[in-house]
Amino acid sequence: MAKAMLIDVSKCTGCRACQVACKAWNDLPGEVTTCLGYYDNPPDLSPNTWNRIAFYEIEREGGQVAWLFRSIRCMHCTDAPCVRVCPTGALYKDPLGFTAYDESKCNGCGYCTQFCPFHIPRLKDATVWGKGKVAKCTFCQDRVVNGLIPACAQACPTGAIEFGERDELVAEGRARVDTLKAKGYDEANLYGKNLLGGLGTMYVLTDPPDTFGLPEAPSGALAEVWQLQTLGGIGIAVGATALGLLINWLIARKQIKVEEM
Amino acid sequence: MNATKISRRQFIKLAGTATGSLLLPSSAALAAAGWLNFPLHKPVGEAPSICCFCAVGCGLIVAADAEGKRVINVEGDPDHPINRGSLCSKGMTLSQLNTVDGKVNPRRLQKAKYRAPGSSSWEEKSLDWALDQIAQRIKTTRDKHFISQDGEGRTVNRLEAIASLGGAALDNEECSLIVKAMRSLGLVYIEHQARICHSSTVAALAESFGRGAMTNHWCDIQNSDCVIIVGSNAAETHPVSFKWVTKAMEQNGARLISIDPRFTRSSAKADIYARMRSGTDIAFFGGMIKWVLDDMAANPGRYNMTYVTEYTNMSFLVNPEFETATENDGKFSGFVPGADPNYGKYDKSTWTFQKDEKGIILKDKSLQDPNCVFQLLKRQYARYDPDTVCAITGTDVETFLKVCETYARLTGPVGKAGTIMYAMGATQHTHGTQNIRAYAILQLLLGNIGVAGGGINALRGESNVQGSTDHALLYHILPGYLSLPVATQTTLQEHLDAKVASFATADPKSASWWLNYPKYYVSLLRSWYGDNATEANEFGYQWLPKLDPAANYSHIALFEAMAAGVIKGLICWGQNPAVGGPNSFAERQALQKLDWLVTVDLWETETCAFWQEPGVDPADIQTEVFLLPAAASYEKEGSIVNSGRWSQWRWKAVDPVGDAKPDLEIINELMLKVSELYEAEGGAAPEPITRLRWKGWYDASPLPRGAESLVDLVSREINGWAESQINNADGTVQYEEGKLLGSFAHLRADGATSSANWLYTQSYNEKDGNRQKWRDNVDYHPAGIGTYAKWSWCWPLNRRIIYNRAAVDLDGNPWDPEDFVIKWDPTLSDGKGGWAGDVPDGGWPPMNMEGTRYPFIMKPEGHGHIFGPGLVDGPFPEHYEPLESPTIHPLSGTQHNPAIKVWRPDEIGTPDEYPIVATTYRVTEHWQAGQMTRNLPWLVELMPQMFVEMSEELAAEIGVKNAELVTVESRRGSIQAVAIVTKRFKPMQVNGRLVHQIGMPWHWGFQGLSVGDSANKLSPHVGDANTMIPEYKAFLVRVKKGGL
Amino acid sequence: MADKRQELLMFNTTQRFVHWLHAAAFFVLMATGLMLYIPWFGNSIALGDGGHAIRLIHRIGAIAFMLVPICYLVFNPKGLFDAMKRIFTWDKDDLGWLRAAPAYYFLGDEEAMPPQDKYNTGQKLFYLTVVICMVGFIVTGLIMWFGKGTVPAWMFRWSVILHDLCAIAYAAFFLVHFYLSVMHPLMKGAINGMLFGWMPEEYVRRHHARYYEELRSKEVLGSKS
Repeated sequence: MAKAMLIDVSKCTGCRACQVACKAWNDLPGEVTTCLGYYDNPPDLSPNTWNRIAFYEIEREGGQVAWLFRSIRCMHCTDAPCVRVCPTGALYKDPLGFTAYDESKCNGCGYCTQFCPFHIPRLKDATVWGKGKVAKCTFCQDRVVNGLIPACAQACPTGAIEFGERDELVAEGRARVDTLKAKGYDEANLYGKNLLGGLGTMYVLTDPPDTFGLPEAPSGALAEVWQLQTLGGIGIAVGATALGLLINWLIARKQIKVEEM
Repeated sequence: MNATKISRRQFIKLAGTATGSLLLPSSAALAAAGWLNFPLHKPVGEAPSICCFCAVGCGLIVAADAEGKRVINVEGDPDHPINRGSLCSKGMTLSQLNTVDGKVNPRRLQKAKYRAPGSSSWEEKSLDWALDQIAQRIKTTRDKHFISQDGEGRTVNRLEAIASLGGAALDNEECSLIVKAMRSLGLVYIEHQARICHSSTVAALAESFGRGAMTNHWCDIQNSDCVIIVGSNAAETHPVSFKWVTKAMEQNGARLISIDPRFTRSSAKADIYARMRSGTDIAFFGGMIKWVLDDMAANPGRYNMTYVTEYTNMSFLVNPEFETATENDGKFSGFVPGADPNYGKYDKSTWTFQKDEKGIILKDKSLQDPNCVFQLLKRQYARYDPDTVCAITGTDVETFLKVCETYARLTGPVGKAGTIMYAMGATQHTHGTQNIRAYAILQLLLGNIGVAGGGINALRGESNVQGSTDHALLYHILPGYLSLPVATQTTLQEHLDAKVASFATADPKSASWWLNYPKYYVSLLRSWYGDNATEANEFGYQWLPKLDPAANYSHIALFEAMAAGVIKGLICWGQNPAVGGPNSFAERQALQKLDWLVTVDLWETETCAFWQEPGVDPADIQTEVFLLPAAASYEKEGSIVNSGRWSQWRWKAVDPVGDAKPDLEIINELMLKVSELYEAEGGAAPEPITRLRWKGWYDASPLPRGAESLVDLVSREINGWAESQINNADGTVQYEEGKLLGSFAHLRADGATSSANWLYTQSYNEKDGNRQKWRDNVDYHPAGIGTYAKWSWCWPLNRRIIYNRAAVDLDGNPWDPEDFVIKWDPTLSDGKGGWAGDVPDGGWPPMNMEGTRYPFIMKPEGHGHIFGPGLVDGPFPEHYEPLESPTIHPLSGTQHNPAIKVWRPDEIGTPDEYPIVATTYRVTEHWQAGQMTRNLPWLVELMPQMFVEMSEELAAEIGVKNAELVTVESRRGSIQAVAIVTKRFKPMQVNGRLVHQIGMPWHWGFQGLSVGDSANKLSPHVGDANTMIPEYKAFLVRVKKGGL
Repeated sequence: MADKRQELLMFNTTQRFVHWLHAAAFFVLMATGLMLYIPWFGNSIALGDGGHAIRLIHRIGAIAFMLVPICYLVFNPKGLFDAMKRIFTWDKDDLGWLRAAPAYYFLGDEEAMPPQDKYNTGQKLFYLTVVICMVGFIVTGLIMWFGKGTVPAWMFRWSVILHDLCAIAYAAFFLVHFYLSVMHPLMKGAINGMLFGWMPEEYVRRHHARYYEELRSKEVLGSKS
């Protein structure tokens, strides 16, 4: 039942339809930017940019130039560290499998922005007196729930971004990797099949993940530690102490009679 | 007429299937799971429109807010067969044309504005006032400068003092009225974007095949076995076309070859990338032609020799006096030098075919006769061996050979097809027409024309440049590629006779369809002048302006005339030559000489604000400027034609902002006022204006002939009516008076029919209504090649792949039975036989049957032209260097195209001062002269600044780091830009020397949300020999560290 | 006028002020911290749209919290250094406290309890924990407040974990501190020291015998009369 997206970088032409589609559907304003010596703009995700194309210029063996494009957005991890670490439960896993959030519950702590191994969520209005709300790709939750597909997947002209049932996309991703390998892309790989319980946004990559700035082994371990701490720590430590004190009180009260000074 | 509503079910169904995604859980299941508590936070949209940017013609749906005032969402139309719901970054930004952050885009023009002579600011005026003033200016200028008779005493009725520029983004109906109006005023200086972008395409393809348009269409690319992208960056400029290239690669295993001086977004997807110096296409493709010819001689079984001998003029015998450029040191026979011996004209008397006593051309089907085209072609390209070619182009030989072999092997054999996608990189050169001829010759050699997945796919760049070209917003033509008469043709009969003679053929198997020219001509005049066009007055022929045969009125010439003070007034419809014209500095200077300028646009462009350009003192400029606010594409209704010749209807989603109006209403009201002034006051030659079918027609109430609105009336008018009852041969009624015609085959030369553009006859007919509105996206073609015959309507006669009679053998069996275009079925038509599949390009039976015709029906001899004598600079392409070149090419002693006109010989840069080759290009995120995209925040965010791309090697040489400012200078001017230092440009070995090339987008100007220097300040004022298209793509510069 | 009970000054004005400032800050921080930390709790109170007001109040509390050592240092550096010296001095008597603690606290067996300093071992442990945790809170808290985007992500993550570990330790120890100060039968009157500064001599002699000796030797026996 889980939905996912498969992004095949070999089909992506970097046209940025998906980048603008995300802005258009989510009514996000354009930012003020300058040319930084490459085509990337804005240079990073932000509260107003939830999906951006990164351009990678590399030289392969034999001096062959390659220009690769990757759409950077939330990976919608099955075992999402941001969800684990969100203290208010604003971030949650939608039954359809993606990582959604209820803005009204977000208290702006910003934990999600730091625990995400892909560095995706951003905090908007994060000034001292500001409300601070999480901002990231929502998988176009309102579209998906109403039988449409995410704006980026619809906008993509070449079909580089596909949306559908996760296991079917995994099978397709594997087939694509085989095709790419047959074409000579020896290091083609399907990224995200099992990471963090399986990513909701998977990539068919032509080159190793680090070429695209993707971590080989992203970890949500500290988030798990923290969550354990929340469930366990407070409960056990404080509860045990309180219990101990209660016992002490019950006993000591009877045993100790102190004269008035 | 209301917009067609898409049902929610249709939408969901297609949203799911069309993009290859899988079915989502049904609403019922979701509701059961308690999950349907998430309404869409805004509507997706229902009013269908077509994107106003490039010419792929993607469908959109537009959503307005509850009051219907602001646009709140625009996305791809999932029902549309070409884009299927997808768009590019520009298309996705379309809501911002109207609405930004909930309010009207503050940069949109909402009021008419006026700039008084010498003033440094605008005044707001009412549109009505402005139109009154403009009408008066037109009359004043016309009365003063109208030329009734030329120096020889001939009636020419010409007005050279007013010019009209634009507009490729205007609807067909708007173009139709503009050209009608401007010609009625006597204008000869009528030009628009097509001149400077694809005019060389029209000339080259018309010469090669008979029609100057993209031969196949976007969806057809999926059928290809190999795609060459050359002189184009399709992934960048026509992103949705890449959906179809990707499909070809995935489903057909097609290979993609990218040939470009720079490694582009298209190259990034290519199987083979070949670096080629700007301006050397003919060397490259000449080399490919030689390779194929050599291979053809050795392995004829690998090619479709039947196609070559039967369908092309390869077997024709040419005049033995003809000499190729090989025999004549780079020139063809018949060159007559001018004052400068390097340049001149060709006397084409040797460029003829040998004929028998009946006048039928002699042929040698064995291709051995030394004068047959095949042998001439071999001689022409004998010099183009791989090493020589690569020394010129800077390509490495191994890659070059790989390209030749791949393309020939994958597309040459019978049943295989390859397509060439090209655009400005090919067209915008002093030899642009011949560049495309080289592609055409290659495609004819490989049997790739007329077949599915083949063709010459000229990628046009504006949403309706095909339509605006068809409706003839160009100086030398009339709607439907008819010719504006020259002054020597003093009567209609003279003109018609001359044209018919040029299409004459003695061969009964040649249809030479242009022999019908008189029918289209008379029908046009009948349309323009209505009942005032009669046989007695030559249907109003005398009212048409006549060209001076020695003069050129094209874009460059127009601006030269403006600079010389000949042109007093200019009307600019959605065109921005201050940024888009070559040698922008010179063109902006020329604007200063105008008495008055009218611009009709959505934004305050560089052109209308030329008097405010930084560095210019408004007090010195006396030009009056009128700025009229125009409606955006989805703020009005009308049809536009994409590159694949599909004429698609666009519906209105919201009202125009402020006082903005559709150009249709503006031209209508303007001409009504001009007409009224002439009726009231008289003046110079009032009749061409007052007798026009305009006043009392477009302002009639109710509108004539059952039209529901002005745009509906014009659309019908373009199709054409029977102006009086027409009977069949057997006496039955074919058409009652006032009925819409069903085919251009029914047009007549006796005045009984009218059509404002014969190509469009059938588009709006009695039986089907307005076929441009059809939205049936099923592929009805029996082979499933994706013709979508019931989605909109394409010219000619809804024929989706033209020249398709070449897609079958002599018996009518398709070369590729699986992906056939047409095939002869003897059982059809009660056993008489007929064609199944696409509309055949001429319904005659196959070549081996009685009553047949050759497949290239628009050419006089019915064959595809490998030998193309109709062009002014040679029947074969010959490599010449761009006017500004870093090297002496070794192929001959003729360095430059000898047939060009050099306008400003003092402004030519030489390699000692300007050693670097420069080219201009586009980015996905911006469009043309930038006014439509540099005012939209989402696009400005993506590409905020003017930049120049250069190799790491060049950057190291001049000490520039990435993102630093640099200055680029040419002989014409200097600009500054941010340097993007990249691996995607590399220096090239050219004739033994290392040559650097840089490139830059030309979208920027001094107006808008994002401003920057205009690259065209650097480009030269020189154009192609045939069409005058400027050489934007290859010139010389130097680059310095630091800004201006 | 003389009171027949002798009293000794245990905690001067500054010390009492910083204690109560600390306590107030602690309450604010712990309460808002819990609201930020535990979804159920936070969402049921949720002030200001998801709890950003809670975050704001937590930060105000944090400022107060950070003022504690500053005020102590500024207004009573001698007292601060004295306290620090004591809590970092550990000897075998502290082991003795540990051995005697169960009988002492459960059964009131005072005999086995060795003489205690101004801060008994338990109090020393608590104070030490507080000091360490306070440093921990402030460092990690400042990273969490200002460090997003400036410090590496791993540093932020560890800060969150340590911050919350400190909170757990703090909370657990606080419960003990509160209980022993206010509720345990043996400790009746303990709170007066922190409320008024002066404690009955008898109390000091009984609960902090070593300290009592120390005071006597320094002849700082004062009397509140």
